[in-house]
Amino acid sequence: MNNVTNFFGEYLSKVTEKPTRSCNGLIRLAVLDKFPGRTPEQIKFNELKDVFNTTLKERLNNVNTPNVEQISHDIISLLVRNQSLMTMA
Amino acid sequence: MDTNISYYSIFVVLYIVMATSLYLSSRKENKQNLLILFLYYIITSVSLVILMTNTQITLILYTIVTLITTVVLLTFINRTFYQGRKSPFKIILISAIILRIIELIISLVYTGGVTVDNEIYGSLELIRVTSIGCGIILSAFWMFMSAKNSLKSLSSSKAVEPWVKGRFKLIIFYNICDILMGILIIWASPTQMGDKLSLPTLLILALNMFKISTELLAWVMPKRFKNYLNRGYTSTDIIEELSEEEIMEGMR
Repeated sequence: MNNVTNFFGEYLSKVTEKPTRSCNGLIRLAVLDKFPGRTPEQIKFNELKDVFNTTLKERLNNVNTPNVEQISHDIISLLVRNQSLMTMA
Repeated sequence: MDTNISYYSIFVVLYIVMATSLYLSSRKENKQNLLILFLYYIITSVSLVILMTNTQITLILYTIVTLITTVVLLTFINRTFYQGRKSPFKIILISAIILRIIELIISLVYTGGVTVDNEIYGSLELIRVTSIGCGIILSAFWMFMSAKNSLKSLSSSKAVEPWVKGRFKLIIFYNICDILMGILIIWASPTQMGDKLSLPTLLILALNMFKISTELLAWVMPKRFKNYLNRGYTSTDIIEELSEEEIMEGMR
């Protein structure tokens, strides 16, 4: 059901060493900030890319996560490589 | 001819079932790429309906419609796997169009009433059939490689449900069938023309059956099949929704 959220949440959890549930929630919140009422599963590839580049970065900065720029860059690369998940799941 | 019509009719029905399912999914889940695939299956069904007719322009019309389906399929692959990254889309598209145009020109020669002797006819048919086979192999190989690489990248993730990985595997499988069919089409004709029950022809029929069954499972995945693929899988979903405060606290 939440394959897109869980996939990127799992990655975020690995790089930030924070609980997966919180990371999944943070990705959902970052999407809601940009696209109210929608989930990561309901937006397009370019929209999710935009979320990772803006609101997710802001959310990570708000909780003083180190290397936010690098995390944002890497999660976008992960999205580009695995974009088919958004169609297949 | 009647056998052909029955054979094509089954495929038309199955393609329309797939197209309908894809259309509903694309509307429900707001997935534009599935709308492209819906178009692909609709136009493919139209091409089969054209094949059921027996007019002078059947072959030409069929070739033109097949050219459109090829472009639609390649667009689907490009938009699903290659947005914002290096893609061989243009090279593959141009090659596929060239192959289809060769096929079209030869079809025009056949229907234009141009008299060609047997030797030239044999060569033209060899070129036409090789173009068809290479066209099929080209699209299928690209889709096979794209799905295979994506599956490789996702396979280690526990967050992705097994049915999603299963869908990639089915796509890989039906594209292998397509590649083999392309090879058999080149092998089968024109050397065995007229021999309707030749080994390559039978193999093509069997592969086509495997292909359509796998395509159906991939794109119209029934809930029971999804559950079967997901057996033993424990979801990492947010079982109970966390509040914004709890999420932010967890991230500190």
